[in-house]
Amino acid sequence: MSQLVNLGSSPLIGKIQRYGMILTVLGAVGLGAAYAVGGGLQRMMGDYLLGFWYFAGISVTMVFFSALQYLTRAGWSSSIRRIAENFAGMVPFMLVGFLPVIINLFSHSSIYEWTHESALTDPILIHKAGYLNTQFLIIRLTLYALLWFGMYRVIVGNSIKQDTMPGDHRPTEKNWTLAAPMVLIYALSISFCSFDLLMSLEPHWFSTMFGVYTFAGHFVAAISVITLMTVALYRGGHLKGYIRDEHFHDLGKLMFAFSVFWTYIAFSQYFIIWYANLPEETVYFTARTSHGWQYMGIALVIMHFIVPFMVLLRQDVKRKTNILVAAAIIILISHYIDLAWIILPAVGHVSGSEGMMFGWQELTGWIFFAGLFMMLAARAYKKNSAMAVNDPVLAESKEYVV
Amino acid sequence: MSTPAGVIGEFKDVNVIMTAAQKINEAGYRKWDIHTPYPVHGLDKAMGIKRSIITYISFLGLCGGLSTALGLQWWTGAVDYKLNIGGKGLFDWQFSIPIDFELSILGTAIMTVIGLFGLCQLPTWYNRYQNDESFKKATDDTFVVTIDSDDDRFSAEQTATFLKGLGAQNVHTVTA
Amino acid sequence: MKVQEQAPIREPLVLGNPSLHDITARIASIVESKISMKYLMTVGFTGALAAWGLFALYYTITTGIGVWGLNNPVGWGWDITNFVFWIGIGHAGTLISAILFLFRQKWRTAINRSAEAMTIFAVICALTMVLSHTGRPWLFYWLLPYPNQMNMWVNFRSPLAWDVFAVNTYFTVSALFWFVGLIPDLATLRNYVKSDLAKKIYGFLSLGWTGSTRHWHHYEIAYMILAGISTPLVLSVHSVVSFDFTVGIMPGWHTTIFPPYFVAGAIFSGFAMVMTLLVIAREVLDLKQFITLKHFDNMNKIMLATGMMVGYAYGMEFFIAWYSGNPYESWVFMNRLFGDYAWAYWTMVTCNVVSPQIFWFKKARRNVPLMFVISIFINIGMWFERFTIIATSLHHDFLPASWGYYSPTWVEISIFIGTFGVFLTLFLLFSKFVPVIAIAEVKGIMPGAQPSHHHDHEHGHASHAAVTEGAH
Repeated sequence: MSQLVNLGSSPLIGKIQRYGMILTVLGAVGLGAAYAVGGGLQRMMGDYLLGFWYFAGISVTMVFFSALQYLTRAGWSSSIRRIAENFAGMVPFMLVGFLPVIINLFSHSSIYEWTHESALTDPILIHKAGYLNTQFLIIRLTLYALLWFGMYRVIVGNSIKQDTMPGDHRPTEKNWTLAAPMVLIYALSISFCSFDLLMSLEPHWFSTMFGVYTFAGHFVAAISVITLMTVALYRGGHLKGYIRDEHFHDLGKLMFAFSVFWTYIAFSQYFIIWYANLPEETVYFTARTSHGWQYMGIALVIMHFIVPFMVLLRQDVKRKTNILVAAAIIILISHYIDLAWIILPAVGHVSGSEGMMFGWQELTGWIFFAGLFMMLAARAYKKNSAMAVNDPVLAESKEYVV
Repeated sequence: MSTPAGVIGEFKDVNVIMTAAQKINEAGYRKWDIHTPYPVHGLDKAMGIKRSIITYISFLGLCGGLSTALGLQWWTGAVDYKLNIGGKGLFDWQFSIPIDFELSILGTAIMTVIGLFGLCQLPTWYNRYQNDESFKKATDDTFVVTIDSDDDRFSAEQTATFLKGLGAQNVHTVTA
Repeated sequence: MKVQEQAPIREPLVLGNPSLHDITARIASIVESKISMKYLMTVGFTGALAAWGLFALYYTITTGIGVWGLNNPVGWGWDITNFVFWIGIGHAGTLISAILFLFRQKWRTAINRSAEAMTIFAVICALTMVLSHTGRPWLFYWLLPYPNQMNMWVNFRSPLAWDVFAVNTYFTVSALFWFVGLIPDLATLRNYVKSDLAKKIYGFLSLGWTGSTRHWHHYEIAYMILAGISTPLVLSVHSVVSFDFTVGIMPGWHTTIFPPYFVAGAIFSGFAMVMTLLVIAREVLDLKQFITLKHFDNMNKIMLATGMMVGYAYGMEFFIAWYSGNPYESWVFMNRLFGDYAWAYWTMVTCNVVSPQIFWFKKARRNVPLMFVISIFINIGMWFERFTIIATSLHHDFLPASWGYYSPTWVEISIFIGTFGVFLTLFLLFSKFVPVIAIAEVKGIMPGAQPSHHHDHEHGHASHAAVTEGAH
């Protein structure tokens, strides 16, 4: 098979584009309303950050997913790898996404406490000023955006280039060589970006595990998005013969494995801090297990671990697309709760709200970026083939047996 | 000496044995088997073997291990021997997790192996065909079909002809 | 474990396209062949090392652990370093069996048997270390919760109690997994070997396995369940080991990244050890047909990857030590760089982070002598990682008055050398008397071993596969 598969005019992609547009508009209006009537600038910025980082994290992780498939020379995933790549559409625009966060830094009451005047007299924050300062943060955010753009250009670029070069495997071979450094770049950039955007919301708190923790969340969420799209394509009758029971099985397996991995990382982080009981560390969890935030924590345990675990444990269910879709949606919701649980208590604290801060406002940023994410995916489907048709190991994807 | 234990036949081609398995099953034989050097995918299905219950046995082990761990840590710490250590609770779910997890795994593993041995009746150091040369090849490079003489449909000649018809080589009757 | 269409771009996993019988004959011939003088001498040498270590252990037990170099601030020395080291070595076996299976890496079939054997032997060494560390190992049963005349229970709030459960579970499950994997191959040997005694022994151990499809049906599921539960088990064991350090408040020990960092380090060191042994075994037992350069290439890539992961953790620890603003934390890390144990720290960094970088080059990944050397570097480096963690945090504690320096005595060194003796002796015995390659698994991935997809059983085939994959 070397003919391009263009699904740009299929009803499925049309639908994704339409809903994307509606959600973007809805989200934009919502964010405006959150600012105007829903709690002011800080709350709106918190909601923006939540939505942005949710989809930005997933998008970058999509590139990482693709790089990982090249790195392991995976045959099974070659027919669905493009699904991940087509979802990475946000990556070239990261700098634009960072802009509101950067502008917010200059506000006298930004969501980052370390930019406030009070930080100037806080001994711990004085110590950290070498890292947590506006200029350096802007430099770092720009660097991440550029690195991610580079990753995107290499991995997704070569993958697409291969589509029009049957018989000549140089683009794929290039990706095979470059996948390793790309994965390395991803590991470092996603960790430090999560320190910068999320961990520094609680500027006194620190955890060496934090980068791994956010990565685990993004990765399982990205797999869930890929699963949803794979099922949608399958049900739309696309990529016949290339999306098979085996793919659902493997995606289910990955969702299962990485929701367990997330749990392992999340539990270890919590457990070590809980047991050692040092005030400088427990501050993070005390804030998040009181004032109503504890319900989010409990919801995380149930929805990010127990439900996916129970649902996906059985062998045969991993081939039932309905169940996979349900599991993917639950994981995506819990990924939202996860980020909300990290971001919102800190933002609530800065904006001086007593108790739990959670309302319609908190959904606006997510809706806005969900819309953009979908529109950019639809754009990718209109431009690119829906499958890496000339991938040298594509045949394995059609034939492999679990 | 003259009572037959069963009929034995050799196959070399994996695709032929797949068809043969299905045919033998369709012919109504029940006490028969195919011995293979490695697991052949789909052969059990073709033979009409029902889904194994071993996962349920493993799950029992998991439940047993988990409840032992929880019960042990709760009862010894919060009931039988209350002692404040490091200001931790007498029983907290947090600190019980490592042992909960380990014992769940241990229980699952042990029950899985017990289940496997029980279902396959291992160890059984005797087999009615064990001295047959064809039968020994089953652990090397041959798919060996055996049809036992206590099967209702068994008849030494007809069964042998039937096997030959399916493509079996070196078909012969084994005496007990 | 399963074969399928391979893209032509792939290298074959088994060279020379042997028949199924060739495979049986090749592996079984190792068992059948006469014991060579070279083999006897090697076993004699490793056995002597083991005996020397056992003597040192005997001396320790009869005299007390005062014969070790432990002192007041440094209560954990080589004993715990070696314990963590050996537990880590064991992890590669489980990783190859279970996690590579999860990621459908077919190349693992050639090496999983020896890696699993290594796991068991390494855990035996680890148990020796930790039991001798207790000082009175004959009272080991005090570690277990049982009703006793003192009316006391094990303290389940202690990470050391979790360790007892974790390590024993690990040993039991690995041993079960390994033995279950061996049963069909032992049956193959039973039917192949000529000597009566060998027939009896393999016959007894193979439990009367006949290769019945009715048995394979249960067997495959059981095997997959064991593989499935081994994956989280291997993560948990080293995480629990890391809890020994992290749940306390000791600067340098208490840091949240330890659990995954320990696991990555364990895989790293375990792969290095598998590599060291396989390079030798492949030469000595002439297994080039089964253990190809492609296998080594893949293993080197995993070593590079896990090496980068531990590098990431080293870096992250330093960054957060500074970022935390905690003076004790930063001090400990500066002390690692420039303090009394700086030599150990820099050995660790050079061996673990710098040396595997050569594996970025394909030529290096396929150069057997080079990878042998690097794998030994990594073994050394990973040992020093544990030593650095333990010694640097302890020797300068919160009270400068009690600061000290720890160096081992000849007894500790001898015990450590002895564990290598035990490990190598067991491995040599294993490689002579037990099939070193998983015969049934390799046969199952040979081209043409499985029914073709165009066959009319395709339907049954696909739904069967749903059943056989176990917990994952």
